[in-house]
Amino acid sequence: MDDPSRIVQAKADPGHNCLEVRNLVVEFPNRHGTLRALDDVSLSIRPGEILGVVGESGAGKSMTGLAIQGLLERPGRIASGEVWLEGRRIDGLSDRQMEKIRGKEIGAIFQDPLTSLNPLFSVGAQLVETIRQHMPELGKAAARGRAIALLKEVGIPAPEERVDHFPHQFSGGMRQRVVIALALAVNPRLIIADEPTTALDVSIQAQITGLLRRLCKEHGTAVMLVTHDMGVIAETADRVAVMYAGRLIEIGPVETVLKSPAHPYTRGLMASIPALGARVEHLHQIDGAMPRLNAIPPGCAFNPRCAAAGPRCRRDEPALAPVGQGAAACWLHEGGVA
Amino acid sequence: MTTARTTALEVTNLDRTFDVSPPFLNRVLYGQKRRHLHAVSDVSFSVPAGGCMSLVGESGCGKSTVARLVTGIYAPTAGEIRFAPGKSGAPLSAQMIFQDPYASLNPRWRVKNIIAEPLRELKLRATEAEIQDRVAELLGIVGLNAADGAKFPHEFSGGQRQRISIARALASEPEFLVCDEPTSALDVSVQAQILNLMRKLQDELGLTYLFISHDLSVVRHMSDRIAVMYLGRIVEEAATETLFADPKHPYTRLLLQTIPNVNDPQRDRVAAEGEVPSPLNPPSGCTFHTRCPLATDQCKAQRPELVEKADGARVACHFA
Repeated sequence: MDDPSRIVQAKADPGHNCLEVRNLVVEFPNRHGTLRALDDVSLSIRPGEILGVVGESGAGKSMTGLAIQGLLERPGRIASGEVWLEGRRIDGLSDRQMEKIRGKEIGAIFQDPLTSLNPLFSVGAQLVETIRQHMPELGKAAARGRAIALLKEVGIPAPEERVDHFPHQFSGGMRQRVVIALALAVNPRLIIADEPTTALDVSIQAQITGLLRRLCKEHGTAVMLVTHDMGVIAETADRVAVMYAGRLIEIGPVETVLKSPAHPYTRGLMASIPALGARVEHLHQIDGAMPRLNAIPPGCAFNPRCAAAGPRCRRDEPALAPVGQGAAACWLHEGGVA
Repeated sequence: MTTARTTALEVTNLDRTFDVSPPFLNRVLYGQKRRHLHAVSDVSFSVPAGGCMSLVGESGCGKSTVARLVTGIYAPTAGEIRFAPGKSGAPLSAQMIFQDPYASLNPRWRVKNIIAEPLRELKLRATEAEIQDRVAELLGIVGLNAADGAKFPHEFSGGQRQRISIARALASEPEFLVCDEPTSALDVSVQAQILNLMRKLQDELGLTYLFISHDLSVVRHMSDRIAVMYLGRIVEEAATETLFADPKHPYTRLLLQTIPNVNDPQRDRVAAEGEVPSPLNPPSGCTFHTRCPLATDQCKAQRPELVEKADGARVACHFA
């Protein structure tokens, strides 16, 4: 068990999807009606693949991750749709059943490593707790050995000493490595990483995304990488899903979506990023802001901000349809007339 | 941007230390020592009138402390901050735009009162009617509606709130704006709106900016000159194009190499190891030597001075 290279057994089988989300709808009922936070989201991730999920704040990207893990806060609920993990349907399971899946089959990495670790316990104690919770057959010593091997695997120097240190004794980047070790503790099939690098400095960010990529490829773990940073997506993800106002509006291989985006929103988003290469006088800007959930316009949610919007966009909601190697939800690609 | 370049702000040998000692009783009972954090050491730079100077660096490098020193929120421990005379003859007045538009606007005040506060406080307008006219004008300048003044901050999106912050900063007709990470709390599509607005205001009102950011692509878009800071010191300072075309300090090169690039992603890059050391206990000599690929014994022993090169760049490195 102490051999770090075998700590997470690879079970790569490109034929099947590790995670499959079908037509997921998440609703938050309140006094004034029902807010639809996710509207008909479908996506899948293969083993060993990193799917980037991008969007602005409030687009529903974190909500998708939470819904998959069964962590929606009440009164939020999955109104319809299905979530399949390794061929098993996991939406609608009881809290107790989900607890067994979280940590064991789905690992989670959150944005702020300081709040996702308990400051009162050493990182070793937290790792051992997770390991023994899901692998009761391991003794205390074996679990500690595994904790040390995990810390070594995520690149923490002197893991035999560091295992007894407390979270505050680690720097931000090292802390995020500990969180990754926690997520990996019991060989999950899927890791949901929600803004894992946002709280870190750029030079550390590159270390963490590199680590995620290496672990994902070596162990065949599927990764859902939720971020608002297109640069991180470009350098880390294999495929990318773009979300807007709770809907999935474009999905495809990362090169295609970033180089030749099919949806006008993705196109605008890409153009509004200041380029490192050349300086322009005026940045492209998308006027307005994403609608709030209680004021999503009829038809395509993006139509009030879209330069190409026609009468059909204001009337009917476009569905995700194949465009080139990916898919986009835009009337422009269906018959070419908005 | 103006062609005739006079200096708007001259900062010389700026120093700021913070007392981070343990409480008095701990010192007496446990013999713990006083501790001082050297947040900014020997920082000198100048900002040309009508231009934009940027400070970049990772968290803890002292860039926000410099911003607060310049606006007078902190007093310098040593060194000098000198504003050139403005249009009126008195030294240029500076205003600040903060990072988080959710925290920097009072949630219980209506927007018109938030913007009017500097006008009332500094008695810049005589009558209430004049104040309201000016507020409406300011809202128009930043691209909001005059009717928006009656609303509360929570009714606005992040980008609109940052517009309100800008309107408040412009209320006292400053000639110098210190912008501390003005777009890092915003989404990219909104960030572009705010950056465009700031560029437009610079051209129309002849503003001078001191821009603080950790995002090199934003900095490149906005600034004429860039100073890179590391552990409280400027390690390289150059014109924007010079810095990007020919970065001389190994830390600048590290920063440029590690930013994820959307247009030209390097998926197989080897990330540089190491992290920023604690500013409480900075390394000896050149503070970057712990992470520097070029470091020698000389770097560990002797701190390099900031030296001006032929192309106008200033670099603090023994090997530049």
